[in-house]
Amino acid sequence: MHPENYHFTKEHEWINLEGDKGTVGITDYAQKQLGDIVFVELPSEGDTVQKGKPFGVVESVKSVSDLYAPLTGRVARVNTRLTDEPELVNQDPYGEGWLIVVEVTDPAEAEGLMSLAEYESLTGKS
Amino acid sequence: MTKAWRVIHNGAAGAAFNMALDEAILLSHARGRVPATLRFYTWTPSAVSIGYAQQLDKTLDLEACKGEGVEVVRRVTGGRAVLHDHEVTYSLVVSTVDLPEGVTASVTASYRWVAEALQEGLKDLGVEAYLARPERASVQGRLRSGVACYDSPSFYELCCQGRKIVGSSQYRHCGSLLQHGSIPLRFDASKLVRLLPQKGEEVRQRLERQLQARGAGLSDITGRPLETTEVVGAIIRGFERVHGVSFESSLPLAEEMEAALSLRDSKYATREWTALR
Repeated sequence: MHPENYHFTKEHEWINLEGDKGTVGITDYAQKQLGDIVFVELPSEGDTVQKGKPFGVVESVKSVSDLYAPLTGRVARVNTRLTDEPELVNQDPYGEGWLIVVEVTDPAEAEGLMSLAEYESLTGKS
Repeated sequence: MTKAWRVIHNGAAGAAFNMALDEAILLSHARGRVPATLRFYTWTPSAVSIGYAQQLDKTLDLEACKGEGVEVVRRVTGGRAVLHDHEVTYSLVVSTVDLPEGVTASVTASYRWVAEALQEGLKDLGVEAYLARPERASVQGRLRSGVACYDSPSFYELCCQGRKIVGSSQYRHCGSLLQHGSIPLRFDASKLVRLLPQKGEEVRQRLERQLQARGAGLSDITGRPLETTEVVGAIIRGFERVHGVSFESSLPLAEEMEAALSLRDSKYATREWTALR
């Protein structure tokens, strides 16, 4: 888990790109703002997600929030543990609380995303 | 907060339309077409709404709902089942720019911001409410076990005399936030329990006693019948006094009404949406 190497969105998602595959999750800042997550709804393997568009939701403290795809691609894996253990997103947002793995259509799209330092500047952490 | 917010008080409607108009206003606000909007409405016929993530058949006895003439609708907001009967419902649509910095981003801070206005407004009705601050662990546990909203207060929900008097839930979409709030005038635990899946007479009676002890309507607190318009006026004054919001009375835009009718027919009134899970 090295979030300093991840890419970030202003909608508070991260993507860890390894080749043409990227693991996606929500940031530590986001999980703190959301509070205790009790429900996670994710797409199915094989579905397509589109950069900047909703691909699922989380529910915390009776609040349903959309999840936005950092990049466009096909869903290769889904973290099915979150069905029964949605609290993993709170406990380990950059690790066990990952959401989906995407086979990214165009990794060059990541150039428009933020670094950790830029993201922390956005959220007022640095 | 220099721009006036809209306040819409468009009376009673069916469950699917009520939910559809709230979503239409949210989408309209997210596109920058309308300012922040506070809407008040009631439900005819009575209805029970379930949270976005709830499982329909584990939450409600659909035959009982039909028998009682109660409509069933799935909300786009979270939380649990709410019986909309003798109540004033509000929906608030705001975005980051409408609230003080940092308030919209935090779920609990935004609940608190709204609750402070409601708390102030309810004083005009003689209701001295306080904001709930339950323990994290108990919230998590109860949210997973109970199916009814008034079974327990969540963060910053309003309580009075140890009973929950306003239930709230949210949906966050494209930088805008929709908050639903239910303010019962009379809280009918018996009717609500009749709509839940039955687990025997003993369990039903226990649940009814539990809900009746934990929830209350405003008229139950004040001891006198309250009119919808009184409650609406008090809440508007609460927002004005606590947060300095100014309101302009309005109607939904024609395009919002059109979108609402479309969402009613294509989403909220469909079996596919209601029985989503």
